[in-house]
Amino acid sequence: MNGSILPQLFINGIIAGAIYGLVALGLALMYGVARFLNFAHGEMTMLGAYLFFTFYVLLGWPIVGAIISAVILAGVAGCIFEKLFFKPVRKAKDIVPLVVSIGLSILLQSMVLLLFGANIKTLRSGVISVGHRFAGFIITDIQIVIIVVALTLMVLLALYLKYSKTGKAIRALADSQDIAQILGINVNQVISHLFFIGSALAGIAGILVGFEQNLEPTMGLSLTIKAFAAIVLGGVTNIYGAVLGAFVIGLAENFGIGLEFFGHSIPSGYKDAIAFFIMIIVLLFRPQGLLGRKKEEESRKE
Amino acid sequence: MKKILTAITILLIISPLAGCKLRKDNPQNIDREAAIKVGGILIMTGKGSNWGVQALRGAQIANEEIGSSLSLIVEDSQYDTKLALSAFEKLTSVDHVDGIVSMGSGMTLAIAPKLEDKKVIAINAGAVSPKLSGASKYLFNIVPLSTQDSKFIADQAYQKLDYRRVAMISSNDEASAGATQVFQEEFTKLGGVISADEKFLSTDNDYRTYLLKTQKENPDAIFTVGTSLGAVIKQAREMGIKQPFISNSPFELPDNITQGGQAVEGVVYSNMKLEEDSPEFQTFQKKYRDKFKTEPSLYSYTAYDCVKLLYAYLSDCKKDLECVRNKLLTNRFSGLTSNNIIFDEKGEIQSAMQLKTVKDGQFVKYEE
Repeated sequence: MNGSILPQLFINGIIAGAIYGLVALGLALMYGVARFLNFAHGEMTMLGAYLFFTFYVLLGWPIVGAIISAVILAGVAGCIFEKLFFKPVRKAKDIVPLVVSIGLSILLQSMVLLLFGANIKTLRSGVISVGHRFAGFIITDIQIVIIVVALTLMVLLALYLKYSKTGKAIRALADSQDIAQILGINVNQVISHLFFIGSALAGIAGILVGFEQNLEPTMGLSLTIKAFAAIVLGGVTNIYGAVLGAFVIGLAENFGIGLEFFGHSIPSGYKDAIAFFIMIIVLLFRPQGLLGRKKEEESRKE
Repeated sequence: MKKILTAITILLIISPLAGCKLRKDNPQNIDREAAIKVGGILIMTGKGSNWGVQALRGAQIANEEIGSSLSLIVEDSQYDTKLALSAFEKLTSVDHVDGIVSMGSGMTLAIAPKLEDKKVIAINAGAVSPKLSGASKYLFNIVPLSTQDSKFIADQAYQKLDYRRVAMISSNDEASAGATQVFQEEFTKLGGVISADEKFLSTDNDYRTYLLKTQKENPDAIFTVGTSLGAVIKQAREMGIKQPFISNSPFELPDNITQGGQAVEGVVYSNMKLEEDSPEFQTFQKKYRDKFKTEPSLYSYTAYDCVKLLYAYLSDCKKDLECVRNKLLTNRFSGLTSNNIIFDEKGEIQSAMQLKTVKDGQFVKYEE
């Protein structure tokens, strides 16, 4: 049975990895600069999805306008949260911003629960997305869009960071905040940009997830966990590593529970465990992650 | 100072919003002086909340009809056993309820052993695990458990629908485990073959890999139970899976049609035969639609009956526990779900079952 389902498992893994990658990118960016893991980042995914639901389904806006508005608002919300909750604790010990982000995560989930209720929402009520058959697997239009959009955004972000003025400032800040400040880079402004970009990316991921699956107030939590695993696996400050880590996790999950070994397959209850198991194994041999740099290399570079 | 002011401002914005929304969604008639107090441990958030919200609404209509002599106090178990136990403690120790309406197999099983200690009767409005049978002498199940429900659909799948090879896909929870176990036992006893048994996590939203594995040995049909079935079936159709789906009573949830749309057309499932022709049933449906602008589901009717039943017997018995238990075992109560609600020693109800299906976006009786 394994041979016949391999192509489908591969595509399932790529789709999952694409979504995790979009969320992981923002998380990796934030960690690289602000040096803390924003536990509320997954909630920006949820926020983007619900904002889009409000504009597109409840208010009946055209789809393009609804997407643009939801993504921009998610980005703006990220900036506001950064100013209100994270900036005041930027200089505090690492545990403090992490706890603040956990609190923000719970607050956002509760707000959405209060406003929209617990019922699962759907963006394409009852509409079946047509599946196309290619070389042993079936992929729907929406899944093609997810992969194309995710990969395009990843490439655009890489180009932005490499060639744009703000992108260079972000990279400078990631190397050293103090030196960047001395060189005249406005740290607060750059961090705001960062949160805007990261939250907007998460918002886009939320909209894509919403089209592919469903919306519920807790949808961000599992994505945060997967994105966290992806960035640790890939090398916490390396955005390319975050993307690679995301795809590794997506593929590992689907192959892990999909394949049979001697007539048996891994029970679904271990699905999340597979991702973390792989993360642990990789870190045992490569503590800096797949694409991360060792601390000695970083010191030599400085 | 600035930080304190910011924090206060945020709280001032959030609090009225929270208060208004909570009051709108969960109006509770907590009259501490009411003669009879009935508690509810329902699933109102998270996976399974679709069932819980339906039950809450049915209970609320019963509460309104009974009036101020009943106080209905509902707690959210969030589909979590630990929270269900906390809710139970609060309802019994703080609110001193006289009876409880419960939902969720895991949650109901968790509170069952404590009913005798706390001297309170509970009626399960929606859980179907076979383990609930005889779980406590003070626990009664107004819905047929999997021993009836899943057995019926297994029997019909083999005898009436002529399926010989069936794959199963279900959510990894107590109720679904019981349902699939009973289905498998009955179906194989009749001579059928179970070709796959896939379980997805209740936190999953991507079911494709599990669905892929149901296709081995090319089954005649797929038996699916648990949460988010509309989404499961829709993803199956998008993957090109063409086999018919069969399910059990909890499938009848309007959200499954909202999520699944065209994909769930033709799904055949087992269901309690309700008193649909009775004037009380029609009146309830009209009240429900007018108040909530949506269709009721099975758990709206069961929760309504639970509240009415508890109120009636607790009032008659002046809250005497043994008297209420005795009435539940010997008296026949007429409700929306049956005009013959009476329980056996194991707390089970014998229910007439029927096959239903989805046609043109509606749940209708199945006709060949």
